[in-house]
Amino acid sequence: MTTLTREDLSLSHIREINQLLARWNPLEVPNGIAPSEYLTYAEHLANATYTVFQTEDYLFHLLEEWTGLTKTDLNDEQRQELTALVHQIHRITCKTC
Amino acid sequence: METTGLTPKELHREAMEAYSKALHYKDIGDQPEQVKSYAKNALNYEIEAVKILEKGDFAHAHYTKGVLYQSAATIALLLASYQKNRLEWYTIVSILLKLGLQVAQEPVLKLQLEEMQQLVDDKIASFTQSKEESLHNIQELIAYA
Repeated sequence: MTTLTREDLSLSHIREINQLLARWNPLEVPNGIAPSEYLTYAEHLANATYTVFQTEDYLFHLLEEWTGLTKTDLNDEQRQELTALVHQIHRITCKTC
Repeated sequence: METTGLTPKELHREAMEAYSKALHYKDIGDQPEQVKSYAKNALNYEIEAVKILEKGDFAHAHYTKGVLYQSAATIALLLASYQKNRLEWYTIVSILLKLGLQVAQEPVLKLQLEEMQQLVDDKIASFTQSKEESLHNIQELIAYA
């Protein structure tokens, strides 16, 4: 049986979060670019110990920084998409869940 | 193409806009000149962004050098497929990837760059499969030296 090291696990978390952010792709960059566009943020999220609310705050902060959109600018569908993303990321990063 | 005064983030945005248009024309399929023109603009913007970061100006950077090199290499790869001297263009892509690998700090980005490097190396190798062809190419290069 192969044992995953902490580095392997962290890398796998970064990859998973990166895929989620690339799929979300709020900057609407082309497909070939999206997998690297959000890497820095995926690394940050993978290494942070955020609660669901902190993860949500962080994503809203990024959204505003990237697109100028704030929480109130989002429609129901966009808000639901973001909430789902927050929970998916939290499931990956939560050390105690 | 005016780039003066733009931050790396703005230059990268301009590059992405131009690259999206290049891909749009690539999908349409019958306007290669448009693809080339937009891809060239995109690559110029991206190189300009990297140059600023390489100078050490990190104000309003938002992106790491590695990410921008990867992006530049992706655009250059598209441009390469529309060039007659493809081998030289693949070499440019390879150089961009090597430069990216030198500065990339993100482990996932390193893997992405390495995968892309392998792809480009394979493309370069396919140009030099035949010994006869390689020698002929060398002779051509000597003639133009």
